[in-house]
Amino acid sequence: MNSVITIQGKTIEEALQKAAQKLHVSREQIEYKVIEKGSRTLFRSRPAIIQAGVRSAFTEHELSIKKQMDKPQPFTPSMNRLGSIWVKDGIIHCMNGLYSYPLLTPCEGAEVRVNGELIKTKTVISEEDVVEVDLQTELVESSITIEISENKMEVYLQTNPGYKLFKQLREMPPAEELTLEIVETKVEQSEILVSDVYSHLRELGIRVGYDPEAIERACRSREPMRCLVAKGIEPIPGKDGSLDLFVQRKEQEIESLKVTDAVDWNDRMTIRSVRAGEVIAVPLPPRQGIHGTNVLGEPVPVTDALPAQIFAGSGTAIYGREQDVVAIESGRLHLEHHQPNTFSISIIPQYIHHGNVNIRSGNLRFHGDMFILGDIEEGMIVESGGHLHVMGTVTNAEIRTNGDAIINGAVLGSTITCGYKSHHIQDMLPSLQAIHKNLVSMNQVIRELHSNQSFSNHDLSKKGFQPLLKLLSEMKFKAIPYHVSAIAKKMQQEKHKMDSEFHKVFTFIEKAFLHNLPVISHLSQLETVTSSLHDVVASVTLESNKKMNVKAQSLTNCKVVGAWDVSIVKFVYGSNISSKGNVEVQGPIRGGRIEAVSSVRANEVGSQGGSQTLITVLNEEGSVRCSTVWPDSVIQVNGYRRKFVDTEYNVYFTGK
Amino acid sequence: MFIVKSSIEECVLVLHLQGVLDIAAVDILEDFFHNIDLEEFDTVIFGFAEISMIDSTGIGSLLNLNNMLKENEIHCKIIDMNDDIREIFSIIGVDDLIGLEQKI
Repeated sequence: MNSVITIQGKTIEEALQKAAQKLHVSREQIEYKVIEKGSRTLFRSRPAIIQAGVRSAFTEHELSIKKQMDKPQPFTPSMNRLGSIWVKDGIIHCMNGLYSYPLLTPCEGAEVRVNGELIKTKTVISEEDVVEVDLQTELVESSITIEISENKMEVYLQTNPGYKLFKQLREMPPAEELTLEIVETKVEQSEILVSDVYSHLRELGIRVGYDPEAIERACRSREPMRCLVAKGIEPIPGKDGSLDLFVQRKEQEIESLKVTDAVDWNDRMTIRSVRAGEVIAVPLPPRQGIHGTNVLGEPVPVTDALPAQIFAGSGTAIYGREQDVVAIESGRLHLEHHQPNTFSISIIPQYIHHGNVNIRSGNLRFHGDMFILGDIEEGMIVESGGHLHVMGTVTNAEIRTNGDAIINGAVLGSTITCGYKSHHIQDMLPSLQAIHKNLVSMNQVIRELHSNQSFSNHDLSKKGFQPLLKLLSEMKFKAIPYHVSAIAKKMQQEKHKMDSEFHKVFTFIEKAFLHNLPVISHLSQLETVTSSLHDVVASVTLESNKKMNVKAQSLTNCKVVGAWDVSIVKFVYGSNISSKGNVEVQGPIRGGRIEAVSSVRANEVGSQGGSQTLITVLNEEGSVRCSTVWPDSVIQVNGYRRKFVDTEYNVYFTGK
Repeated sequence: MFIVKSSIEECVLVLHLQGVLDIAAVDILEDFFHNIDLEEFDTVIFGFAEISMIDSTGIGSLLNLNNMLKENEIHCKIIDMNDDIREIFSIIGVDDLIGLEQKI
């Protein structure tokens, strides 16, 4: 319908007549929708109301098509072609021959009757025959679908406008034999009313967030269309409680060390620390969110914003009504952010060594951060439980840290090991994970056995769980004793390095599953061991992901193990570096092996003299970038290896 | 209460077990085997039709006997096991080790 009017009459018929008069068309050309049927009772009458418009199919062009199709199709022998048959203006014509008749074959979609008889195969036609062709007009009604999203926050309207498919015989030139063909003409007719859409939406209970423009657009579209027609009001999330770090505000930096930071090597060392008694932080209250509304008008709640949870670790205390976090020891502030609202704060003790580390001072070991305001001399060992800062040089020494190692001077013939405490445990991680996985399944198996009415607990009550655990670890869980034995062997070699919690948990597991000692007498004990092992696995995993970086002025014949990012200001000669992140050398890398997970950047790789240098990047997205690569250098990324034969400049090598 | 009744059919020793095969019963079962001459048999069948319950020691003992019989090249199987006990064997992962036959 092109233009629509709403009109009323005593009956629907009367309203239709009025509409026809008003639109200046015949009654048949009216297309209408009944709004109100109308009724008459003893006391009152209600008029009939319709929405009416001119039927869009009856445009002039369509009327002409229809007329032609409705017309009977007489033969008009207008061409001087004897014995032939043709189609002109949608009508079949034919002319008898002197000694021949034309032949007609019908096609699918057209019912052809010759003298009233339906033909399906090739048929002889003569001028005397009456041929009728019936071409059905196909009508597809308009339809709409309304879809509410699962969270009831969005409503989509799918419109499928209706159409009429008119068929006409294809024009064919005269021939002795003819197979009919049909031409289809599609006439779209959008008759989706905006009011219909609104009433459908209301029926579905949709009350909020209508988009009138989108509804109008979808109804007007002549093509099938899917669009968002209503949207709920999204809730505004709150903000969990957090921490106001006084120290951070004061210094803008607590302990972060990034490899990209520019370092002025002429600077004196700054030791950042908090004093005992200093207020470190105060908790900030949570800010609650605002509820939203879905399309059905129902409230959409927001999760409550939680207050800050602060765990005061070693060297700190929570004090007063405001819950201030106060340092009770001096040292470096260490903050861990576990969840959006959970923080743990501790003070890592600091030790400052004035002068060199040598035979007079002895080897140095400290559980917190260490600051060495001199050199580390030949043969000495320095072990730091946190970060290590060295003002001077390091010569033929061994450095072990459990944090960053920052060395202002040159490093010669030395080994730097980051995360030394957890190296050996990290090797055991796959075995620990396998044991934990098997213990979880074993707990489940025992629960299933307990629920089986034919399973007797007689031996368990007499001898504890040992017979059952032995049976299970010999049958279904053979992997447990296998991995326990593998770890036990490693532990014997490095017993002194084991963390006490790890040692306690593992010794228990060893007794229960390797030596079959009756240490477990109840399922709850097995569950506790499983959960303790889970904590150990989690802490080892966390430890292995800890980013411990190395910064030094230069490396000569050195070994760097377990570091995350390695940043060298001047040069690296004949050294082996293994990094879990990136290696950046502002000068040349000559000789040695550099391995990084993510990337390697250097000014030069190799030397004019052809010192063999191997650069390896493991990550498939990794890259090696350098200004000059000398011959005999090998670069490999993600398994793609290239040996440089000639000098090349501005090299960017990826594994792709 | 655990009772072992036996019958011999040619070279087959059939044991009809009755009661609860648990820590208290395993000695009775193992003693029985100590007192027979295995050379006369090529197959031992454990009839489980009247076994109502079993514990881990009972299963362990059966596995030991199974290994011992295998070493003597004697075929071993369990028959007439109820569904619950069959499930226990399956949960522990020993159903493949001992020839289990469907309940007749």
